Amino acid sequence: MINKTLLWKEWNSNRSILLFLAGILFIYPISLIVGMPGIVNRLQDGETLYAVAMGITLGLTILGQERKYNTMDFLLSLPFGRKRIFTNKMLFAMGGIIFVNLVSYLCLLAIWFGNSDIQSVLSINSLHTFLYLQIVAGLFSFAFCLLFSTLAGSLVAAGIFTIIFSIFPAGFVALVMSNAITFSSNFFQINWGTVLDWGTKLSPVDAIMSYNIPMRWPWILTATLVLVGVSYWLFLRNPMEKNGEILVFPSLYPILKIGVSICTALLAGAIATMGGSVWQIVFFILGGVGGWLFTAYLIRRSQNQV
Amino acid sequence: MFIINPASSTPIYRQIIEQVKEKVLLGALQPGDKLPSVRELATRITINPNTIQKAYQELERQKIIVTVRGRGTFVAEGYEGKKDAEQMEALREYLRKGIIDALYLGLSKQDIKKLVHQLIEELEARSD
Amino acid sequence: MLKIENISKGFNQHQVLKDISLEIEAGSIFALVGPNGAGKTTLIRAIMGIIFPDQGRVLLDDEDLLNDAQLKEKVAYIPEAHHFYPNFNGLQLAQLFRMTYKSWDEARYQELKKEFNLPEKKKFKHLSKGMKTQTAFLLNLPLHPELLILDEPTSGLDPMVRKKILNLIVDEVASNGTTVIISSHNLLELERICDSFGILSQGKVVLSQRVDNLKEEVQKVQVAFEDGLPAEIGQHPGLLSMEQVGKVYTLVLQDPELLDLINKAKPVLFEKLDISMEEIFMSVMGGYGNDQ
Repeated sequence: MINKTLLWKEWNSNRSILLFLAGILFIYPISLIVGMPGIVNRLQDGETLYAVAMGITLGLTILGQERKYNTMDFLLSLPFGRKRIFTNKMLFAMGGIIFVNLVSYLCLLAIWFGNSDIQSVLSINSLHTFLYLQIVAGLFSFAFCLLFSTLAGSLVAAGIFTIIFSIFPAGFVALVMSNAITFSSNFFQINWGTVLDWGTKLSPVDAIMSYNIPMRWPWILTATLVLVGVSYWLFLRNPMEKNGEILVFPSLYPILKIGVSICTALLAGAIATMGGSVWQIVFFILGGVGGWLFTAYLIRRSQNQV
Repeated sequence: MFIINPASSTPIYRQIIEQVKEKVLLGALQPGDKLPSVRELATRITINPNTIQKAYQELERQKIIVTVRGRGTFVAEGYEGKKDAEQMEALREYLRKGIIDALYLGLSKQDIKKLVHQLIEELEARSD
Repeated sequence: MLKIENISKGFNQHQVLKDISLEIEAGSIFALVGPNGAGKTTLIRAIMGIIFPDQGRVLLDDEDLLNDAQLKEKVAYIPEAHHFYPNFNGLQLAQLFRMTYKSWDEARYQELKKEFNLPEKKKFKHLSKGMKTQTAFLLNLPLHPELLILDEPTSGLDPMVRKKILNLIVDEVASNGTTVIISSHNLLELERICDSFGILSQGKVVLSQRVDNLKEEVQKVQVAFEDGLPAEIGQHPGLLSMEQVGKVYTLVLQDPELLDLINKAKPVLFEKLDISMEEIFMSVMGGYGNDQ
C-alpha cells in the first residue's frame, strides 16, 4: 500500500510541512534555549495550539489543494487507485504531524539533558506529556478537518464547515437555551447547566484543549480513527464532477438547508428575545426561512460556477 | 513531396497512389529509387501512417513498388501496365468528365482529339 | 483496441452521456468530434476513471479499464485544461512520470527535451499555454502508451508548434502502433491524420465511421436539371443538405441510391465536388449550434 511515488509527490506538493518543522523548532526548542519568558510554564502545562494549527492546515489542504487546482484529475489519471492515493496521503500527513512533533521533542530532550538549569525547573515527564498532547491534538484536528474536506467541494466551504462544527454542540445548546429562556426557564424542567456542560464536552474544540486530553485521549484517538475511516469511505466515492460545489454529495443538500435554517431560526429568535415571545416567534420563522433561502442560493451559485 | 487534399472526394490513400504513379510516369521517380518509409512520409506530410501503409500495399500489389525487408521500399524495375477492369472503368469515367467539361467549353471533337495528342506528347517528352 | 460500452452519465438531472458505445481499433487515430457541450470531455473523463459513469464499461484489450487502475499504465491523457501540479517545474514533473510509469523511455525523453527546449526550472503555472501543451507531450510521449487520449491538443498553439505536435502524434503511431483518440473542433487538421471518427451530439453517438468509407458514402455534387429538381430527390432522406443558386443545386448526399436517381433524371449539369470533413459534419448534424 505504501507507494514511494505518491509519498514523494505529497512531499513535493506540500512543502508547508517544512514550514511547520521550522516553526516548531523555533517556537519550542529555540525558545527554550534562548530563555523566552514563559516557555517553561508552557512546556510544563502543555499546549496544543501549534499542533492543532498544523492539523487543520494539513486536514484542509491535503485534499482541498488538489480540488482547488484541479490536480485531482491528474492524480486520478495516473495508474493509482483511490485507495492507494488516500492511504498515502494519510501516511504523509499523519506521519508528518508525528514526525514534526518528534523532532521538536528530541531537540527539547537534548536541550534538557545538556542543561542543568532547565532540569531544575522542568520535569522530563512534562516533555513526554507535551509530546503526546501535541500528537493527539494534531491528529484529531487533522482528522476532523479531513472529514469536511471530503464532504465539501471547495477549500472555503470545508473551512467554514470546520469552524461551525468545531463549536457545534455547545453552540447549538447555547442557541436553544437563549430561545427557551423567554418561555420560562423551568417550563421544560431541564437543567440547562448540565446540558451546556455536555454540549461543551462533545464539541471538538474542547477535545483539543490540553487539559482535557489526559483524561479523554482514548476517546479522541478512537474518534480520529473513525473520522479518517469515514473520510476514506467518502473519498472512494467522491464524484469528481462536483468539485467546486459546496457539498460533493448532493443528497446532503436538504440536510444542509434544514440544518442551516434551524440555526438561523434559533439565532434570529435569540436576538429577538427582548421583544417578547411574539416577536421571538416571528423572528424565528423569518430567520428560518431566510436561512433556507440563502443556503439554497449559495448552493445554486456554487453549482453554476462548476 | 506529395500534395494531399484532405477535402477531395478521393480518399487520401488513393491520392498517394496516383501521385506515385504520376511521378513514376514522369520520371521523377526512377526504377530503383528509394521511397520514404511509412514513418518518414507520415511525419513529413503529416498524414496518418495507416493511410500511407494502405497506399504502399496497393502500389505493391500493382507491382509499381517493391519492399525489401531490412532495406526499404523501392520503385520496381520494369513496370508493365496491365489493364485492370476496375481501373479501366475509373479511367473511362475520368475521361468522360474531362470530355464533358471540354464540350461545355465549346471545344469541337477535333479540338478535343488535338488536345489529347498534345498532352500525350508532352508526357512522353518529359519521361525521356 | 478500446471498447466503450453503454456509457451513460447524468449531472444534476441532465443526461450528458446517453448510452455511448464505440469501438476504436488498435493503432488507429480516432477523432471525437461534436459541438460544444456534446459530452466529449465528459466521455473522456469517464474513460479515464476520473468521474464514475452511471452505467457501462470500458475495455482496453478486453480488460476492465474502469476498475483496474494499474491498466492506466498503458494510457496517457492530455486534457485541454492542463492539470499538472502548478508548483512543480519541468524536472520534477518528469521525475514524477519517471517514477510512476514502468514504460518510461529515458532516451526518448532526452531526445524530445532537446527538441522542445523548454525552461525546465520554471514552475508549471508560469508557463505559457503553448509551453504547457508542449510539456504535456514531452512527458507523455516517452511513455509509449498503448492508448493516447488528447482533448483539444492544438488549441491555442501557433502554427509551427501545431505542426510539430501533429507530427509527433503521427510519429508515435507509426513507430509504436499507438491508438490515439483526439477530441477536437479543428477538423481541418484532423482530416489529414485520422482514420475514423465519431460524432457526438447531445450525449449520443450520431455517426461513427472510417474516413475512407465516409468519402465513399457522402458525396457533394453540383447538378442542374431542365425542369428543376425532381421531388423524389429533394425529399429523399439520404439528402443531407441542399443549396440552390438559380437552376444549379449543390447537394450533399449520403445514399448511393440518390446518385442513381440523379443520373436517371438526366441532369444537364453533373459535377462531383470536393467536400471537407467539416462540411460533412455540418451536413450530418443539420447545422446544430452548441448543445446545451
